[in-house]
Amino acid sequence: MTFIMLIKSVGLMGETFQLSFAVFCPACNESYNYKVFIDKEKYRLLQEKEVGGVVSFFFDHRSHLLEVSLNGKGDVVEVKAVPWMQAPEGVTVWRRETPYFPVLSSSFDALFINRRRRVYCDVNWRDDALSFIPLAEGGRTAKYIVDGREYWVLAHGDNVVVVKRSELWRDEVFNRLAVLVREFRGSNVSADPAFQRIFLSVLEASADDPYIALDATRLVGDLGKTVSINLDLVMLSPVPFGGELVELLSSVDYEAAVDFLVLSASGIREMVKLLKTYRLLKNLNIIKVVE
Amino acid sequence: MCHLLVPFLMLRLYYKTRERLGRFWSAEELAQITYTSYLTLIMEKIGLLSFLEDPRSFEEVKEFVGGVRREDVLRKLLEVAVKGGVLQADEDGFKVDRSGVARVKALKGQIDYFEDEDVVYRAAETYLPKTAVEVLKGAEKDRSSPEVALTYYWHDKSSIFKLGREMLLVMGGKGRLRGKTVLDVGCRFGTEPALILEFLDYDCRLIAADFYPQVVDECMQKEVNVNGEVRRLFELENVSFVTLDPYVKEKFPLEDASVDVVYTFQVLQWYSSVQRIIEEFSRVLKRGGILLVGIPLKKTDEVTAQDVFYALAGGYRGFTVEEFKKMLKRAGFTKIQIFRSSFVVARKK
Repeated sequence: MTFIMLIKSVGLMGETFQLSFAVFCPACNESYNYKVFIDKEKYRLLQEKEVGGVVSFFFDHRSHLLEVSLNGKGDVVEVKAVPWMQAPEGVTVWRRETPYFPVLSSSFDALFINRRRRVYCDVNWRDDALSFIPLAEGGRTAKYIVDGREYWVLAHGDNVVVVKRSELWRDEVFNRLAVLVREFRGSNVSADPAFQRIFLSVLEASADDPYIALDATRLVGDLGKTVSINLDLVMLSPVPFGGELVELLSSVDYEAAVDFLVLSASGIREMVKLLKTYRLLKNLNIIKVVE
Repeated sequence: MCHLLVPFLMLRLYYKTRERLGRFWSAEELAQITYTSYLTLIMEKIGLLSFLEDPRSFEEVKEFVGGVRREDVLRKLLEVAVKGGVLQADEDGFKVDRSGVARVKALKGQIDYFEDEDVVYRAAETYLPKTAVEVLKGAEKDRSSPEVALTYYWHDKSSIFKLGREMLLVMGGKGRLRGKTVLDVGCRFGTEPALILEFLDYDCRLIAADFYPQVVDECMQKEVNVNGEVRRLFELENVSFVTLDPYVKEKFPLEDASVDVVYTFQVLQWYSSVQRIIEEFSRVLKRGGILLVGIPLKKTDEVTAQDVFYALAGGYRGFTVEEFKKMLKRAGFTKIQIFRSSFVVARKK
């Protein structure tokens, strides 16, 4: 049995919608409850279509992918367990991945790769992604010159981010970005929209603020956790956090997943504010990690 | 250069108070009005002033606040409010004096420091009333409590605190402090270490210390401008950080006779363990080392609005000049000088 609930979050999510549904995975022989987020555009498309899965979501079940398709009425119309592709010996198969939540559009190039899963996300990569994946194969943090341009490969475990260096960034930004990638505790950087949003915001702000990557490590380290927010103090605190951020924090219902906070920030500017103040908010005990 | 401005800034303060209040006001008088106004605001925000439109007994006030476990603090609050002219007391009980309230508010408006926002007043206007009620109900508050931490954050940005910090450094003597090891106890969110470093042209070894790890963490990230380049404090080779136990159940993690100067500004009055903290200062200071303390001391032992405010905001109390001198002597300090009941310089024997 499946069901679906469409909730337009008031305030915090702004133009974003949350879908909650339960599905039965034929491969695992188990039921799962999922929550996903879609943006307004996707929601509109979903509403316009009548039947036939118009929106598909993929969930990693280790030995296979679960593909869930929803129609315009919000019904789950198809559930498929898709086995992992087994690459023939000596042949590398890479699969392009799109996170379940729209990532920010950035003027900087970043390619998010997971080596073990052979997946990559090139939403913010303007070159041919497959040509650059070999830089990540070794799983080492390094700098490369390709056609006279500097590329930074930031690796930790199976996760690798390739960045085209901007001339506006100082050299130390490299180390700080490497630390940022190391701080990511999730399993797959190419499918993680919260991390990608943070990383891209950091790239955007690094020219003006070379410490932004360092500040962002605190937020990245808390991805996957839940925080409580002292709303009284958020409301009463005047200037330091800025109006937009106060609005963002005060629209949270006391407790929130850190990922949810990140995905709720409406754009680069708000993201950067969140990254810059997150440590302070924690150190003032206005935000507390509860789990 | 900024330390050269201090005498001028002090003169400006004097001039301002004379201009606005008709004569020079002592630090104690200014403190009395300021802290009475904070308490008045707190009483107003928790509805106590409205409740006292009719005379009420202490028991009725207690019942109004509800669940009071710190009767002593509530009693003192009412006492200092009577003393400050905000309440009247007679055999019928306590009653608000509306003209007194108006007078306190008007005076406060006239002395708002340096025409800056008074951050503590803002705190008293906003979240401290809730804190005060919690304290009256028995809650323990310290700098690890969010609202107290936020007040400290604001303190970090206060211009009157900046002036006070500079004054204390001037009293320590610039030449004497250069090249020395300075322990800054109560580094807060980094403004104070940054000021000390700048004052000494970065020519010192600075140990930034605070009683809570999250405060030290924030301090480490404070940005300073070194030779035109923005750096964070943790990156500077001559700066290190320690977290201290405010109750001194454990010694400070510093060697005996390892520092030349201990600097602490507006910190000690928040802790009940002051004597033990001062003894630790003495232990870590070298022979002849300098202790520089910024602390609001009182001339007499009577309970002041300042004491009650500290208690309600989660702190401890103010000390008298004599009490504080005795504590210093007991810990082995000599050549004790106290200026304006606020700035203390002493030497380790």
